[in-house]
Amino acid sequence: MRRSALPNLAWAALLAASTGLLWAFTPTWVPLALLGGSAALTLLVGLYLTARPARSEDEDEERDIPDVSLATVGLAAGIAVAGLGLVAGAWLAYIGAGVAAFGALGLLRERRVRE
Amino acid sequence: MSTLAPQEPPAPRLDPIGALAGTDHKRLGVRLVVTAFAFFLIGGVLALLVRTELAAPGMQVLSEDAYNQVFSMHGSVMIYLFVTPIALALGVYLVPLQVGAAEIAAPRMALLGYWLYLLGGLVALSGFFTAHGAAKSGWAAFEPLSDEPYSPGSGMDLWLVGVVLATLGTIALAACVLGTLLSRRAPGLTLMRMPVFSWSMLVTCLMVLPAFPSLVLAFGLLYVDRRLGGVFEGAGGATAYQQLFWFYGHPVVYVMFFPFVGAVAETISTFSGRRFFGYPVTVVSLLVFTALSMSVWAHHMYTSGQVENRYYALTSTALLVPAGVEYFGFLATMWGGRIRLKVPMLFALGFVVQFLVGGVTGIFVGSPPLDYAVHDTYWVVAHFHYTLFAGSVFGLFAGFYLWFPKVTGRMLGERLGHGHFWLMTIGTNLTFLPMFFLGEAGMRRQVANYEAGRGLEGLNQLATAGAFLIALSILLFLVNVARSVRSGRPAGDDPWGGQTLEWATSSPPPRLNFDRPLPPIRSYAPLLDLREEAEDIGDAALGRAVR
Repeated sequence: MRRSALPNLAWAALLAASTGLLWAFTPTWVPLALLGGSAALTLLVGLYLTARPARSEDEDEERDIPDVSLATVGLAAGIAVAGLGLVAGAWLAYIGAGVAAFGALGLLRERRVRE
Repeated sequence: MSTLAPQEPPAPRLDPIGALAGTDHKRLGVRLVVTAFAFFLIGGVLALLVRTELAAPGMQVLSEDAYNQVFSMHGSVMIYLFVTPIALALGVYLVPLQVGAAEIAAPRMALLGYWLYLLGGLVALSGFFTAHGAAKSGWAAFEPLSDEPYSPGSGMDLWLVGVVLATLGTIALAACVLGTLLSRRAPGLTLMRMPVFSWSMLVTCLMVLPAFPSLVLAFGLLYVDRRLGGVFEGAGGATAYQQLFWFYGHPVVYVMFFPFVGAVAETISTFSGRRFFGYPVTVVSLLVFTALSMSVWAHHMYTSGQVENRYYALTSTALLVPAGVEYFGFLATMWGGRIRLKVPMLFALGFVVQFLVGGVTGIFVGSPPLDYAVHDTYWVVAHFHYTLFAGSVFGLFAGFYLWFPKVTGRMLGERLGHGHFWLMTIGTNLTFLPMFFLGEAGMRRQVANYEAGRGLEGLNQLATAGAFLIALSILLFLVNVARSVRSGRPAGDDPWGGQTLEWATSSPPPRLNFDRPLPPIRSYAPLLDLREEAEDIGDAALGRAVR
């Protein structure tokens, strides 16, 4: 087992124990779903961390992240404008979605240039 | 600690594109801190408006409607836009350095998180410029107060959209910090060799990932409810909303607490010249602490009569055990240490003493019979300000003074720092201590006015005076930062005699963090190991010379 998964697995176990205790007190489903869902989510992340292949040191050295990423800023601005569209109207949501799409395309381009 | 005279740090260069879109975690961390601090100043001005209004009975400077907007936005700005993001900002800047990584995991996602947070904050605040004004149903936006009939207008919708955007941003930031901790550690830096601050960030991020989506869900459904209705109907609907909200709303209190526990632990061990006492027990207690913190959310709903009070009273009281372990660690680390009362240590001690007031009064409100008595009074306001301001913000300043030399390469002024600490300590206690008595006297929270002649005036005036003292202390701090950034004394790599890896590189650190090989990592305090080894070698040589 990969040790980096240990905090997630330990924490999932603690949350599951807490969910069990809650269940002993009350069968109401909303709180049980919230706490139990958190335990399950944390367990899934822990299992993913356990199963994923280890990173090699070469792989770490090969990583080449650009110093600036305007595409990421574009994506964030697009999401925010689309969110504003929920208040101002669908027209703004469409503009925001368009800007976000441009940002996402820019991110893909950054990735291709790197490869 | 370096013995050579520290060199002048390189002058910061103008780089507008990098300032907007740079992916370096250090630039991002600084940007997050500056942005969060700007929001803190806005939230602080709103707090001063609240306190000015409450200095005397009757309406002075605000209308009742404006008061509702101001106190709602004060709470929102402080929680969603200041303390939570700045807690994560510390992790964004420091965690890669502490674990010996060249950069943060998924730096573009961290950049995305920053921009979502900033733009979300601006959207939430833009409600002030709408016809009906900003959100006015408190930071929790309880149903049905936050419904369209009771909170009409687009200000409330902008607030919902803005807070959701900012929260998505903080989730992204937490994911990057967690990824760094789990997958980017330097060779030899095992989980049990991570510094206490890094552990505190790990447990913080573990809480963010399951708890924060609950707020996104609650506010998303609230938005639909405001537009279409039928989501949170009747008493059951209001309770369901509160369950979703508090499943975020209580863990976030700990998200705003644990990083500062870590900062205080680093400060205390550094300025006591000792390893943090009981490291393995502290790590386990942090995990237990966070799991319990996820299990206490409905103690905010005791008086609703819709939750199982016994379970939440049990888990809330059980929080005492891991909290006691942390406190024991603080005290035992100082015990017998060579304590240096520099400004970071003063703030750390301020945190330890004042958070105790917040923590102990938390046990009161964790008990249903006592909570029924003080629910929705100023007693609760006093309690949570002792945890979040007298605790977390003091912890933040401990970390700020501790790591400022690493970030800028310059020391913060010591005299202004002392002034900042003492003014803020006096102001904090003058503001929040009277609120316990106001609450006991029955003064309700979130109300713009109170009756004259009930003996509430004097205590309210004290609280208002204290709030202005806090503002003055923050002004001193800003002057100190402005002066020190330009002409502060050069700090060198390790001005305090630090114990963890961030002190093993230049100040400020280079683009990929380390410009020299890392020291051997045999514990969570590798630089202290090196110093102790050097002392042992020195002692042995001295012993040989004497023999």
